[in-house]
Amino acid sequence: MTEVRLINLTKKFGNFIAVNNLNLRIQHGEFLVLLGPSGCGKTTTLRMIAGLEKPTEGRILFDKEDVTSLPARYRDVAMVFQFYALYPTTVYKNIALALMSQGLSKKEIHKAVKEVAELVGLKEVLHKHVNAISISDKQKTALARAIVRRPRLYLLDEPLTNLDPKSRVEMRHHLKRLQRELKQTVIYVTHDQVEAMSLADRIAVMNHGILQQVGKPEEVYYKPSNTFVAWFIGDPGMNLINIKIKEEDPLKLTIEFAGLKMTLPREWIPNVKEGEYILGIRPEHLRIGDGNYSFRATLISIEFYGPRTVLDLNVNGARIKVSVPKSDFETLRNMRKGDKVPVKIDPSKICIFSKDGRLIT
Amino acid sequence: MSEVIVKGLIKYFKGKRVLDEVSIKFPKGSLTVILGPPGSGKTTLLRIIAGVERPDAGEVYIDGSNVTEVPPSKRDVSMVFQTLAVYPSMTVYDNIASPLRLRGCREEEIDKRVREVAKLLHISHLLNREPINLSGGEIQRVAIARAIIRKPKVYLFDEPFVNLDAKIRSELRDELRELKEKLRQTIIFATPDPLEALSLGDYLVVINKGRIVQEGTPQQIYYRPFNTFVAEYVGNPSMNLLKGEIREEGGKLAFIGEGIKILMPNSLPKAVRDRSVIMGIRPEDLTLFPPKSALEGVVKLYGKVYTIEVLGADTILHVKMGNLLIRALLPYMYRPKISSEVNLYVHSSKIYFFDAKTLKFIEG
Repeated sequence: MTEVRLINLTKKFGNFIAVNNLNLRIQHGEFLVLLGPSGCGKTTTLRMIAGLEKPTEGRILFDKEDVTSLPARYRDVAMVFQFYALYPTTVYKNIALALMSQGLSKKEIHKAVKEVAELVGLKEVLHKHVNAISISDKQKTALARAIVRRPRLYLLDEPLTNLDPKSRVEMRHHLKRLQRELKQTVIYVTHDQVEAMSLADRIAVMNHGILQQVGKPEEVYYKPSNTFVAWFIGDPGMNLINIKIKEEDPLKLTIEFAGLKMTLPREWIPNVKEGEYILGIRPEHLRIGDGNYSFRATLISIEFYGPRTVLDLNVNGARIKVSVPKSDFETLRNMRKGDKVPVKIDPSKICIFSKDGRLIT
Repeated sequence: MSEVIVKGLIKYFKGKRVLDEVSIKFPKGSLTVILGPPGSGKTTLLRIIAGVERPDAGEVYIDGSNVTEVPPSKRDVSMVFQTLAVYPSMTVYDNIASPLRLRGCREEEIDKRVREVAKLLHISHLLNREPINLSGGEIQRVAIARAIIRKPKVYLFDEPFVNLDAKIRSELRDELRELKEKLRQTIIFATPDPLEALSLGDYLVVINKGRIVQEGTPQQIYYRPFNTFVAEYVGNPSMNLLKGEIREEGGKLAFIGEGIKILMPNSLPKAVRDRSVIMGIRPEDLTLFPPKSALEGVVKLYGKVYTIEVLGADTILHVKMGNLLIRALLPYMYRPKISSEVNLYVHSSKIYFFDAKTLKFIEG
């Protein structure tokens, strides 16, 4: 187990700042996910931790030891990539080869390979050639090669990206089990917020080289620090609507948008004064139907996903999405494009952002 | 609006049949999704429709005329590929304009069209930029703009979003949905992603190993999968499939599987009784509480929580039942203790039964 600290870490490629003054502490045994869109600096950060990229500024500490200028091969980290590279031989040999340099006896190697195969779920294909196994078993083999060395730190770079959707769900579940049993520090890079939510102890969201927020999945999901995180996390992301807030009396505030007035006790949305704001509400916290806090919206399209149906709606020029779980599909009956649809809002679930996108409450 | 029909397409690659008598009538003016796992023949099918690949047998018809021998340039079909294919040395404007310039259109007309499609795809602000400075999502928008500028008879999309970030992918899906409404043209879209297929397609064709397994509306495919392949493939997380038999034991009807026994209601259709079956339960049909509306016909499963994936709007519970892992998708955040016991409920009318040998859906 290793604690990793990134201190004022910056990486420039010419004029382009890939990573901008990043400060992050990854705790012992933590599964930290670096999440963000392409080009946000997450992979560059991972490569700096691995020692494959030299920081322009800043320091990297492993358990208080400064490794900033330590070559990659001395860092004792294992990296698993999106494109796994396997030797054209059996799964067994692929895993065993990772132990070659460690001076172990044949018996010790055999034991270690067996153990890891069991752990990763490769027992059945252990003696098959890697060309004869499924894509997810190939990725498991790459993983097993990393694990068998028992490094001090695991770095995973989008390891599930090239898997088909079904194998991806399986592998995600597998990785989660694995981490619980290994209790090792893992830094995992992905652009897929579902993977991040599922796997992470904490998620670090990056955009344009800048760290946007670090927190537990629930924190990042319910209390996104800005509108970028709000939009990026969740599929579909959080609805963001321009609103006006008026102070009715000392105890109440009125939110106005799209002809809707919603009066709320002031303590529900503290730190807010009269003015213009952005209201954030997740698609699953909107429901079809009339209620105390409801408004009408025009139906643009209906997206059927099986477990959920997502409605795309227009409220006075603002686009919003409402996510309807299968148990409520009954409410969608006879609904057509162009219909005016009543939408209920759950006022306990709203976020208020400033006009420049920072979370206020 | 054009009608595309393929009849009895057969195609071999290195002695292997990659398309095996594929016949489809693509509905006019709507978006048909070809859904299948990697290597199922989707791309080959699209390439044959485009004319860049010749079938070993079978025909392609566009608007009633046989175009099997017609070269791609004369078919009036345009294709968007999964690799981001734009001219790197041209501006976005020139990239989009190129198909019209090749056809010798007047510059005024070209300018009008370029601005129209750029607006449609929200890339008006990028027209003077070069592709090297664009993100993957922006490049793919340019490729789509270039494909639609000519107003061809048929649009073909070959996994156009597969190499993009998840977030960009769902944005582009939204845009394609809008585009579809505006174009009102025949679109054929290939993808391996079942959720993309369900949410985007007016009509779905499920293909596996070069053969069509099932076609229909997204709802038909989802609610009435033809066999266990479609059942498992179309859905995410995929359907739980349990092998066993339905029989009476001690006066009670039960599903007896490997190390598990699940009591079944007496309302179960005759067609699925006293035989070996594969029982299918969608993760989203499992609930933690028995449904209030109908107590009759509720089936109870129980096991121990094995892993939990809290995904935000949903939670996936992986529950160990005997030697099996059952997935339940709950539409809220939920974190029970690992290894705690849990009951799961499903109404028997939502359970799918498949024949254990043919793997086909059993009509009740």
